[in-house]
Amino acid sequence: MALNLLQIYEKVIVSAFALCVCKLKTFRKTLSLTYNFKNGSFLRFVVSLTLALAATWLMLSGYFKPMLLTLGVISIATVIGLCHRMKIIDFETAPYQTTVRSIRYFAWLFIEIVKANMQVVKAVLNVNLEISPTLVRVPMPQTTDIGRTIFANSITLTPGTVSVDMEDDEILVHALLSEMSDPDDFKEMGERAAWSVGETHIPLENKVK
Amino acid sequence: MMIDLMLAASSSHPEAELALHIDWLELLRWCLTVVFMGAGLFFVLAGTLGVLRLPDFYTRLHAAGMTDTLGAELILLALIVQSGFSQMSLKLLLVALFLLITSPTATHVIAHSAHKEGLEPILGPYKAPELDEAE
Repeated sequence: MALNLLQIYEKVIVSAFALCVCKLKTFRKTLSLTYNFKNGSFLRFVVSLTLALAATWLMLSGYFKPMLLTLGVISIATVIGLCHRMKIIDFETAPYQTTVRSIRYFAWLFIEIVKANMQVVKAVLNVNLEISPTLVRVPMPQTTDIGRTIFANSITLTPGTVSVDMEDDEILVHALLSEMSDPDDFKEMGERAAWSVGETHIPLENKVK
Repeated sequence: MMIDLMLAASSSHPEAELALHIDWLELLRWCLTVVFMGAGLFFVLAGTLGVLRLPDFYTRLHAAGMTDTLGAELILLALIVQSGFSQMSLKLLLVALFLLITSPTATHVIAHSAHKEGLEPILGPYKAPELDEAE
């Protein structure tokens, strides 16, 4: 019973991918205008998104009953179809090619978060509450939207610094302590954020001038 | 499990020695849970104190961020250790991941709207006012 169903799923998935390939060949021109081919092909994003959605479904449901699995396949197909219609199947929807880099970046970020937490705890629990709020403008070395989002979110995630506004190529950052607004720290974080999403690194000095 | 241990140690029953078979992995798990949960609660407490003590809107955001990151994450880590390797711990890991994405986004939205509305932050060195001054 279960084996038969698995074979049926296999056929469904294979035919869905075959359809995608056909479509890709037919509408290659329009697709290349809509989708960003720089970081991989359309099919690759579809496959990785499907795998991620399937993993999420299995993780959250935990049941392997035939009916529930069928529902899962239907919902995954619906999501893929909707994403395709919305033309958002690109690197930003399925950024799984840089998973290893993301994990390494996150490990580094977590250590930074712990350090910053220590500083903020010390400042807050100080009897005299010695703080020195500052506003600084930090240049963004990233070229893609996802890289900039990760950089701005990392700044906010680190306690003691909050990204307030984004203007042109700069982020307005509010820092709790003046020693937290050191440009070198932001520079390192920005470069690592750009690296984590697979951007070819542009030296910051060239970008500013 | 801890209660069983205590009972076994306190009872004068002749089989007490047999009952003192300690499951070290379980004990380690309990210790780790207590350590992570305690640390997480400390950061949540510090964050709450910070929200009460700090002078203006922007600085209070920083204290709240402390609760979001290490506080919540350490408590979730304690729960993951406690639940062992199971589906529940994977779900908790997912919760931790979502929290790390959503909480800075929400903080940024709040800070951005305050900045857009023209709320001026307190800048420069700041010290807590003396008690007599505050009165």
